[in-house]
Amino acid sequence: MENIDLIVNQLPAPTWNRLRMNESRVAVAVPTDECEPKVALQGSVCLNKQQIPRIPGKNCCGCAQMATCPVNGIDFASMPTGMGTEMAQLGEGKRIHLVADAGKSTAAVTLRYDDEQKCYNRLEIEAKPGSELTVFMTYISTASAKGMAAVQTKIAAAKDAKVKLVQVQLLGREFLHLNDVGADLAADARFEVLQLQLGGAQIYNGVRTELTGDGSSFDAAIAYYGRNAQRIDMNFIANHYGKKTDCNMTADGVLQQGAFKIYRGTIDFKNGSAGATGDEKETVLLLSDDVVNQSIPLILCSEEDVQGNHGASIGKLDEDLLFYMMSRGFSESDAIDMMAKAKIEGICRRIEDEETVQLVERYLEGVVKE
Amino acid sequence: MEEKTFVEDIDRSLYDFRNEDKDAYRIEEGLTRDIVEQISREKHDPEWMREFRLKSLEIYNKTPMVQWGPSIEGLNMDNIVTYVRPNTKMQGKWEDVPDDIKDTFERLGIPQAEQTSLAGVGAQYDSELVYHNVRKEVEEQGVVYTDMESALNGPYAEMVKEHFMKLVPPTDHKFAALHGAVWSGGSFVYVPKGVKVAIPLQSYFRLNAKGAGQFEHTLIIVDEGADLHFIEGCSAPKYNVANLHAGCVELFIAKNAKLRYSTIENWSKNMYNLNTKRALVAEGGTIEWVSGSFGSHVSYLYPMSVLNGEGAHSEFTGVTFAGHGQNLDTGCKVVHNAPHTTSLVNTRSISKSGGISTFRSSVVVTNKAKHAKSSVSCQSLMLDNISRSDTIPAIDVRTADADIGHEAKIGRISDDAVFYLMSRGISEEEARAMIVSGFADNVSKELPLEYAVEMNNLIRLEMQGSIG
Repeated sequence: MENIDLIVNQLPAPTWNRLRMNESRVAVAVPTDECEPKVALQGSVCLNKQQIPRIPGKNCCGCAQMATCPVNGIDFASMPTGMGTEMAQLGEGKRIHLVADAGKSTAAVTLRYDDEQKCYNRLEIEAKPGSELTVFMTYISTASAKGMAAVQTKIAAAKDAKVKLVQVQLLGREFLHLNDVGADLAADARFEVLQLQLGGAQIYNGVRTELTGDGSSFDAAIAYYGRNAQRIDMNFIANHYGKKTDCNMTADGVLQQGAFKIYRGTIDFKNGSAGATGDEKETVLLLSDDVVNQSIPLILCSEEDVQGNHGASIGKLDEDLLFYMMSRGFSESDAIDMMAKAKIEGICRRIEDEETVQLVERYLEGVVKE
Repeated sequence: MEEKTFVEDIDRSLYDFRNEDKDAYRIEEGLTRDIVEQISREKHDPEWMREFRLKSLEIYNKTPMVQWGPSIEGLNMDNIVTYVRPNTKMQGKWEDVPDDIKDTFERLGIPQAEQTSLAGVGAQYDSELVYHNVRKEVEEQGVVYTDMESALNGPYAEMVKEHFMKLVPPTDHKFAALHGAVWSGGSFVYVPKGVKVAIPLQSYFRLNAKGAGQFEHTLIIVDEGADLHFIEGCSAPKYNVANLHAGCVELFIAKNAKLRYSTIENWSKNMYNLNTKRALVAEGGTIEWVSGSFGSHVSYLYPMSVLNGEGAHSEFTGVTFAGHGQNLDTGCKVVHNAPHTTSLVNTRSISKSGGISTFRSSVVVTNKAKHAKSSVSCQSLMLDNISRSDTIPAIDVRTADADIGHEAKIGRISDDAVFYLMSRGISEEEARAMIVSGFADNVSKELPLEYAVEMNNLIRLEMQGSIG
């Protein structure tokens, strides 16, 4: 089967080529299978699986008129994403479209992959003014399965809309996972993304948010547990256009057993984003000597009246902490397992769905005991 | 929205004066094999150096331009004169230096500084050293401080051959190759084992010729247990055509030796400053970089420390001030390649009047660097919203036994701080200048007093006439 060579996760401002951080190249299979997502909805959100013709300038109707709604004014196709424009080479993919009306609602989207499946799915989320939507996305397969799980998620959040996207990746040990997210936020809209990257062999993950409207905010938190020579390749971008916009990005992870990780995180204060604030934090716990950790946190700024901060801490487990735990009767390996799990649990605490949390816990129990 | 008042930068007459170069020898413009061979003949190179130059030219021609930094489209090598020799030989006394050149260095305060606070001075004018002198007591300690040409043909020729462009090979990047092909001038320093040079040596580089390039090579070897502070200064008058500086600094710091390398860079704002600086630090050795970047139209400058011996240490303290028409891409690189190595990076960037400053760094920790520690802190200050400030720090860690920290901040001058100072009777302009000077004090407090004063004057000069 022929592969497609993609350049993904490009840094918005490149640096020395010899560091090999400017972008990543990945050879992916042509998607051949249809992975039918299981979707469960609650509250004022509805699903349109049809290909909706895009007629610029026309607004999409809400859930009540969905059956007869022929038009959509949001240009999801040209909405930029974290992994970049070359994802378009994967084709149309299996597409679903969620529309959330004002009020609270939740959507659970489960993508369960069989062995050898190579799928590309697209999810478009349209959050209407005043909507509060939480979307749980779970990618799952058997532990030994291999294949490709490519998923692109695009979010258009209207004024005052709040979208919380929870993505939990529990794929088999030989899976290639492409997780590509793009969001555009109108005034006072909020987008929160929580990600747990736990399975798979090669994980390429990009999240890009355009803080277009004044007062919009973006909060991203990712935790990962890299092991078994995994490659975890990330690109987070927050583009501040609106005034008094705010972003917060945290990445927290553990690396061992030959894992490779690169975290690219960019806060870009565009001219005109007066009063904007941005924070980025990264902590990486290195548990074996054969790992590679690359981090490149960018702050780009063409506006005076902004505040941007970045902090990174990379290293082994604090020896005093380890000593303390061992003095309380834990073995060294138990103490290390506990600290590694704590990184994941930090995200789990923010997931307001017991079923998803339990799934993660069960998965993690298996991993830690491997 | 806050009201802003903007006034153009004042002129930089302290540095922005020029002499006619009618008596100077100028090689023709451009970069060809003939020109490189001509430079080699002019400089009486040994054969290995002639071959090295030609090989470097080949590498230059094959190496693509960088794709990641500020634009250097305005630099056309066909218009650059790579060698301009002033009409004098190198002198050991200022009174023997021709009047116009001596006057230049006097206006820059070099002879005065030599008398009061330096152990030796090298003064380069265009492509060649015009003055070199070292205090007798320092010479008696066995310290060698001479121009590169004398070193290349003198008793230290073998030492030069052994080290020349070994740390920055011509294959490193396009302008390292250019340097290898057309280098001229610069200083050679050797500090013998255990010798501690109490007061600094200084080289000052003045590029006077219009449309010329300066390609000086500085090679410093600090032997086991020795200690040196080396100061480098540079300036040029402003022309309406591009000038180029592609110098190269190679520093070898032996076991338990220490070198502090301080630079106040104040090239004119038509200068493309594409300079390469690198230090190799052996066991227990220390390199301290102190760097102030104020001038140039475009700058690519990232002093690199290769910590190759156990317990080697590097510190980089830098300030970059980018004003109107400037795109200054500065920072540093550190490679931890041995156990228990440590590095500390502390920088400040200031952008004003449409200037662009970029802090770019890399900290690489190899698998050999067990128990390595590194801390990087960079802060940027935006003085208006027509300027730009970017921070691009890269970290690559390949061992579990490392402790790496990084923090970056970007922001503006606090209105509260300005208001407080104004309430104490200080004008707004003065208050802002004070705050910016304070912001840059990480560098000024590391410099000898008279250089700290010069740096603060430069900041004041840049800040004058600018409110908001």
